[in-house]
Amino acid sequence: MAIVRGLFKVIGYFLFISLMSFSIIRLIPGDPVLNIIGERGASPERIAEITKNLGLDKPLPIQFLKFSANALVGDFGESTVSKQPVISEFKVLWPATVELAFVALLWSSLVGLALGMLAAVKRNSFWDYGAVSLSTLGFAMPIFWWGLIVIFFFSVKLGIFPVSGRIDVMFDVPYKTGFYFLDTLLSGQWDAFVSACKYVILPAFVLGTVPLALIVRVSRASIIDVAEEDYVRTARSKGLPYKQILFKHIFKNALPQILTSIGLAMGQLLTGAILTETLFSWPGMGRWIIKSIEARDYPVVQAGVFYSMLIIIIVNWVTDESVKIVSPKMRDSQRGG
Amino acid sequence: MAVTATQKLFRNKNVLYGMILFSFFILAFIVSFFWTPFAYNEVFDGMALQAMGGKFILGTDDLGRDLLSRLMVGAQFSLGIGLIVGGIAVVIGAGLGLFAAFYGKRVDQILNQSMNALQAMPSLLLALFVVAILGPSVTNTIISVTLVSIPTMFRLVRSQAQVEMAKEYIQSAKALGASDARIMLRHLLPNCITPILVQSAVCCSEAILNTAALGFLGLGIPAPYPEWGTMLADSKNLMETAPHLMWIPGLCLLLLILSTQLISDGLRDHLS
Repeated sequence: MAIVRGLFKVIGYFLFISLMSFSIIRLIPGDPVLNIIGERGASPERIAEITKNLGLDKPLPIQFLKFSANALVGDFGESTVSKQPVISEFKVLWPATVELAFVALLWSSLVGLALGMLAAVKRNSFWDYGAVSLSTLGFAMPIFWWGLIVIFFFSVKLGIFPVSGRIDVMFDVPYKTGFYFLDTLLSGQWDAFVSACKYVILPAFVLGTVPLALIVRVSRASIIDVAEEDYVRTARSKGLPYKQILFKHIFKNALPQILTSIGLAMGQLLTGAILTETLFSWPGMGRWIIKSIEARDYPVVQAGVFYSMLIIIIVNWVTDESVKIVSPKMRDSQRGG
Repeated sequence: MAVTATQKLFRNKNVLYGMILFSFFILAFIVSFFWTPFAYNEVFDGMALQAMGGKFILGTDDLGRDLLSRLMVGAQFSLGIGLIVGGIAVVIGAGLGLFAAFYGKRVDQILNQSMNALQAMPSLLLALFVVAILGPSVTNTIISVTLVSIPTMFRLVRSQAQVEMAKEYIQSAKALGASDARIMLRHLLPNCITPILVQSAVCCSEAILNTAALGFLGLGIPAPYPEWGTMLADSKNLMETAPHLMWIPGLCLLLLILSTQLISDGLRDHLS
């Protein structure tokens, strides 16, 4: 029964995101084909070709079914700009975004947790005020301005890190997984690996500051919450060492909330990636989507929307599941209801 | 009575500092409609990339236009859109929230599901989605950032109104034969005012950020208008020669967003 329900849910999600991405071309006011190729230079043959390429020559329900079926196998047609199949462009670009987001999430979770914990443990101290003001500032900071400042100091003034791209142009990395960290090591190019690391540091640093603010705030608040529970007082009065209480009692119980916030942060990461990738000319999905909107390359826009939403749904699901794993309370309430 | 309430509100440090910062921008915003040091689009030959100080207080941009004038007119977009969106979000988001909570059942289900659908995308992506369909322009920027802000407002108001709906005073109002509109506007609305006030400030700050982000990506307010995000995007290549073009618009944006967030945080503390 649970499997059937799960299956229905998956089908529902799939139809929903495919409807969203399907609707983009159809919602354009006026004639979408003229909109794409422009009023001038539109020969009847070219219009017919594009109409066919976009699948606009059939009734809407048929169009939608066809679009969904194609989306299921990853076929979004050809880019109207590069004339390449959209999926082959996507294949090269998504690992770049995942790599960037991964590094950003890794450092922001570690630093965010540590800062949040420190602030909660040393409440009302210098560290606490520091962490809280930092996170307030982080929430208000427009990430693209922060990125400009970081570029200004580290690239322009100090010249330590490169400003744009994923790796130095002198390296030729053979495509295996699309992840430069893996590909460079798999092909045994140590120098290229180092270069890839150097290129990822600045954008990942900038991108990570958005979730950092959230993770600091949530981990501080949830640790303070848990520390006021009865069982923590009991553990203290038993005379347990504070370190043990902190990690075994408090941290373990605060973890579900912190994990949820990290899951939320992933949504922010995707938004942030659009801005960070544009700023650092990082060849990933975010920049791809922006470029395609500028060029009115609708097949690419559709694929971009489809895959971004797919990623978000997967991330939400993984977050929910991992919260269930670390929190017996959630697990049991699910089983009971 | 009103005076003491206001005094109490301003005793909250967040609200106080937020209000001081915010009124500074409001002042610049209002003044910009009547007076700016120069016309924001006036090009001064041979005066490109002037540093701060001198005839042009905040310097000039790469075309020789006065930065201060452009910033002031830019406030019309950033702050103006923030205020408009905050207002629309209250009317539509809160209105629908009250509606959903009051009628429940089918109406609630349909509204709730469509808001869920809107929230499936992160805010900037949803705004981009709208711009991809409608194309970049002033109106479309407003439409897209408004659409983004409605679901959160809807949810907060709906959940608060649902709590209120279960209370006795609503039952008695119904029993006395009050009309639906009267119950919603005279009874439900005043009791949901806290989340509405707090969230409208949040919507305002998100709208400012999203407008600037769209501008930065080149998909927001189009070219001749001075918009802070667009100005920041243009400053990237001039960072070495004219760093003030990067520092000043960014600082304005940060302080404006910070002020709205301080106000919303302070209001939340104060009212709960």
